Amino acid sequence: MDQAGGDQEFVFVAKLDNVRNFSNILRAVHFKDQAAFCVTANGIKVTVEDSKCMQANAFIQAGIFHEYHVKADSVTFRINLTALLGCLTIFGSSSQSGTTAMKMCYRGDGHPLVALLEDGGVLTDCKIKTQEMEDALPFDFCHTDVVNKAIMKAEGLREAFGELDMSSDFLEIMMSPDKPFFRLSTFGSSGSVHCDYPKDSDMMELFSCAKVQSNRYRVNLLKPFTKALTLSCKVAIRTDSRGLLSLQFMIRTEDGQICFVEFYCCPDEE
Amino acid sequence: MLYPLNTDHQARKQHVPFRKSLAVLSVFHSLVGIERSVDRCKIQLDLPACRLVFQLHCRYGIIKTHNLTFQDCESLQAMYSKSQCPNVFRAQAKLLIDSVIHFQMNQEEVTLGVTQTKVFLRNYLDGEVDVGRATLTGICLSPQEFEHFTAGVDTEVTFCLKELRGVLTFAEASNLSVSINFESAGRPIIFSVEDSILEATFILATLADAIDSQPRTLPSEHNPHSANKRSRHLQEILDEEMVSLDTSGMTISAVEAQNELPTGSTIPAPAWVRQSSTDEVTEPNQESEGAPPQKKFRSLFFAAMSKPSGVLGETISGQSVLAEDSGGESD
Repeated sequence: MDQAGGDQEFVFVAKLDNVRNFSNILRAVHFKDQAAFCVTANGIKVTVEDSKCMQANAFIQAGIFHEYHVKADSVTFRINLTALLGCLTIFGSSSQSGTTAMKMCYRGDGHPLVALLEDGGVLTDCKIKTQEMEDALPFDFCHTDVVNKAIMKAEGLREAFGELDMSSDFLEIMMSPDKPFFRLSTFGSSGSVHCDYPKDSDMMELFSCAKVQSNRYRVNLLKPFTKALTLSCKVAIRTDSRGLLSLQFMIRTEDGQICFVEFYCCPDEE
Repeated sequence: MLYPLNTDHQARKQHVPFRKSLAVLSVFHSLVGIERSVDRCKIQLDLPACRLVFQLHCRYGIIKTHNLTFQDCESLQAMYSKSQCPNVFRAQAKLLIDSVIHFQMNQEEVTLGVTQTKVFLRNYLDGEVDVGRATLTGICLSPQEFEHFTAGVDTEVTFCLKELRGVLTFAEASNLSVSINFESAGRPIIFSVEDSILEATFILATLADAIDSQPRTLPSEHNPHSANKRSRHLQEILDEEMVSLDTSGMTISAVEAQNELPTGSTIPAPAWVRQSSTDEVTEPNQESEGAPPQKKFRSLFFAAMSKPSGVLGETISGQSVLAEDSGGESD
């Protein structure tokens, strides 16, 4: 791919041979148009929020890019994620359509994000307007305050989401040191559905439960998880003393690199 | 797949009619998933809590529990007797599926008829449908296609196609033969499937038609009911096709007709329907002698299509009925 102007003008430049490694992870958090990008030397953190009750963070390590330069400690901007994904998948998003190479550049505040895409000799030059960063919701999910934690294979959880009645308003997550250990429940018009996972199940890689905790979360806020869930191979489910839910999805890219997508969701106060 | 049920359960002894079909279906929504992951399924009726409980014991110790609410309902007591039905056939579900597949998906009812020499199926059009615009589809099956064929009385019955499709899909999935017992219009038609572990009987009501209720073997000349005329006409076509195509067991005849009547016409029925009663009269007048009956029918159709351009085939002008409808325009 040709250089579009001197790279020294840009505060952030990243190159990638297969744009799907990047776009798939963005898609996992694509449930709202607006996303906040925070670029540091370690990688890119993409934050998407909904209803002041839930937040998704995608962590894209610098390692998945073939070239990655950041001139400042951190570069931040807000961008329309739908537009960005539309550009990144302009040559098609399926794995059959060959690989698209990408170069992404950003000059700094007030400048658009430039994405150059190349597929089979065809070049696309996209400029997406950016906005200044706003403060993200301070969820303050503190690792020391974690009460209950489970790490599961995503496959097991995917099956549960297929079984649960997603038309119900709430999903209840219950963790207890005794049976049923880990229970997901929905309460719909036709009755209730429970999915129980014993702690010694092969699907359960880790289960540490200090005390019985049962919280309800709005299904509408949880639905975006399912995108990440389909892409992921492992899920860590944690709750703190306030019932705040943290879900961390481990996603393996086509190159075999590991990325994380994290969701926070407030419990429903009755 | 099914394990012996826990027959000690007290609730089992009670007969509880209830209605919960949709939610129950949602329990078994993914048959592939169930086959892959479910080891055991426990079904329990929790009467105090008014819940029907489905517990799926899956791989990796995962237990999925569906607590379904239900509501009492009156169950219909169908009055029927399979043994008293004079018409009894049995056929592979595949044969019948291949027959009903030709009907449009929005077709509500079909008419099943039987004579000593054949079984026919055709779509039923109720009185509100403009027969000139409707598609008519008919299928004839010869008795040799059936595993069992007893036609005690020539009759035809009309019933819902959707239910029939459901029965056939179910039977085909289990690779079963479907038995069909019926008597006459207005009396129920009974579809049944049976194998070593299951027996299912589906009783469908049939349309009670004043004219169709009497078993009949020949079309009567004077019929006030236009729908019957039409159906009879189609039947005649099918009859004739059966004769000409006796080598292939199944014949299909689908006819589409545009409404060719001028708006000011005093004759409500489309020409080709009326034409049915004057079959013998019009045939000698046709240009193409010796044309098979369905061709005559088709020529009517094409004439109807070409009519707006003012070109009326001689085939048509030779037919008394059409000439009456369109005389002003063509000549």
